[in-house]
Amino acid sequence: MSKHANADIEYVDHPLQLDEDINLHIKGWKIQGVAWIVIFVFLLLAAFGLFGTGLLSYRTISKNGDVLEYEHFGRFQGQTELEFTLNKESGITQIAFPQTYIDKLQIERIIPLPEKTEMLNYNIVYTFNITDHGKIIFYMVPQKTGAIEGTVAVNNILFNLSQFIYP
Amino acid sequence: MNIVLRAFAVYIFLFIIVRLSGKKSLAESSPFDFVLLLIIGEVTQQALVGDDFSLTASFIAIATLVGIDMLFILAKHKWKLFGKISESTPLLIVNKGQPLWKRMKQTQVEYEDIMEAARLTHGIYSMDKIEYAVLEKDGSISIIPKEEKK
Repeated sequence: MSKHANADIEYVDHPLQLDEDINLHIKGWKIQGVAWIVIFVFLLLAAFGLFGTGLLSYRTISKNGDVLEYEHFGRFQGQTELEFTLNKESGITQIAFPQTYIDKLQIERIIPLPEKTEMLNYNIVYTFNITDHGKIIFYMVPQKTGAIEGTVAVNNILFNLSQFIYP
Repeated sequence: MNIVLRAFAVYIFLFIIVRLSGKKSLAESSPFDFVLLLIIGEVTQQALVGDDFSLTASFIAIATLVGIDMLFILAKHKWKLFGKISESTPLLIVNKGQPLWKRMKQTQVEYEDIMEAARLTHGIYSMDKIEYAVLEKDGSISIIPKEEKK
């Protein structure tokens, strides 16, 4: 027969030598409930890009007709992209990254390949010969975690990048 | 990232997630649980050593995981409350032949789970032959049958 009438759980007397601690169980169930709500909220946010690819992560910067699209959130050693859509119809385009930025985000692949790569004033400059409003995509792999800021110059027009890399 | 830190973070995260999932998942009572454990194993491997496939990395990760496990065991012996929180405590779910439905609901134990344990351990086929049933720390259900009147 239960000694404590409780709508949430049964309290019972029994002769078993059992280290039951029903109050700890009740606290645990409450914590479990709250924790799972928090986890599902994070999963939902993750699906929308809080930890990488998704709506919450995509950023677009448009200057002088040139457009830079990139992911604000990334993961350590998980691939991320910088995509430039250029206003220029054809001709030489230079994209310069500061060395400090490249130290943190290693460039794995560039499409299309640059005609020339050089180091100028602590910047790595990639020179492309583009045709017909070309797209240039840099595939990058973060090598450091935390906040990463950098300024990319596209034909001397500056684009300020702000990213956060999760461990 | 440092392998020791990665192994530590993975262990703690897995521990918390498994602990939050409730006891039933520990007992591997369904194909869902079994598949889940298989997949978690695969995903965890990547997180532990990343692209480093050296023996050294593996040894460090293994030693870290075993070391943390030993620390937990020591902590459990030293602080009883830590043990109760980390491993939970047994819970009575059938009292004098009566299922404790609210407790069963909280722990996601079904009536059929109790009957399965009763059949497997004692060959019992009816609830009125069960005196007590306890949901143990590891997620298994132990059955205490009713004493037969002589």
